[in-house]
Amino acid sequence: MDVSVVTPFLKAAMNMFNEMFGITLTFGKPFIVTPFGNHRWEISGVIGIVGDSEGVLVLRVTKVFAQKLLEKSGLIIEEDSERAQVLYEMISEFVNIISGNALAEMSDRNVGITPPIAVQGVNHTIAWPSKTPIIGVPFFSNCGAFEMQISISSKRG
Amino acid sequence: MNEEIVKQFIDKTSMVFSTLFDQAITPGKAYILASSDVHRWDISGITGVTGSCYGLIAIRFTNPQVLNLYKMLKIDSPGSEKGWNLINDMTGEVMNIVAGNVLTEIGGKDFKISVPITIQGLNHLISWPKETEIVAIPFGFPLGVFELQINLLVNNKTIY
Repeated sequence: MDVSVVTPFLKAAMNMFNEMFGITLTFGKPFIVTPFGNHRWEISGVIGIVGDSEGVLVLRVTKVFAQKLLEKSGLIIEEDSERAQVLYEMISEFVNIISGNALAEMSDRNVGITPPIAVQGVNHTIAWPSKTPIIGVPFFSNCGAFEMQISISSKRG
Repeated sequence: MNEEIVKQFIDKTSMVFSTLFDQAITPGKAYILASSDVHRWDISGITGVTGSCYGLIAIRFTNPQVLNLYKMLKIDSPGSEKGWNLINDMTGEVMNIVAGNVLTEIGGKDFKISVPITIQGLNHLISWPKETEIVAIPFGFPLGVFELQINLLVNNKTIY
């Protein structure tokens, strides 16, 4: 399995968490993602990649992990529904930043990103058609674990 | 509400359902979607777009609806994991065709569209971008009601 295509995204994620939160990430062995099966992820940030390369980047977290990041940011929100909405927007923004920074390294290609969304729900699944396997990468930190899922392929011949 | 753009979404969705499923659909009145913690949608096909058109378009169904639509295609028996994978593909492709046809009409050629993404999960919630409101168009058909939800800027203008 060639995982070199995800390297810019790994670097972008590690840089973002370090710069925004002072968190040092490590990552585990990449694996091929299958869309079904039970999992623990409760919030997913999703963004589309378009242009000379196309694909999708997904960031999957638990609510507890997202809440810890919010606390680390210093933002205190008392009202539950407002705090939940801020968590979703935060995860959405993370996937936006990571993809934007990763794609900036692909200067030889004309690529862009679509608006990000966040999805929330127990055992929700995310699937998309892909010419290449969808690669999952587990990340670990002293605030908890999360997962990145990505497929990206060149549209050029 | 930009009635011309809404009409494009209605016309292209009607065309797709007639062509793929031989189903006549009846559009309801378009409205602005307010955030809600409870809804009925179990499966969503979503496409993102950037360029002259910027935003996201989703088509949302309940599980019984997509199961019945899938059966109309007579491809495989749903209920297996393979069947649900194909349901993902079907939902995504319906969204892809509707979005591609509409955006070509309203946005010219200066846009790029993402691969369609399908989300499954009981009562899954989508947190949308804040650049513009979400225009929702309900559609009735013999299998119930499904909905298009559109969060879109066309040449930097909202469609509502």
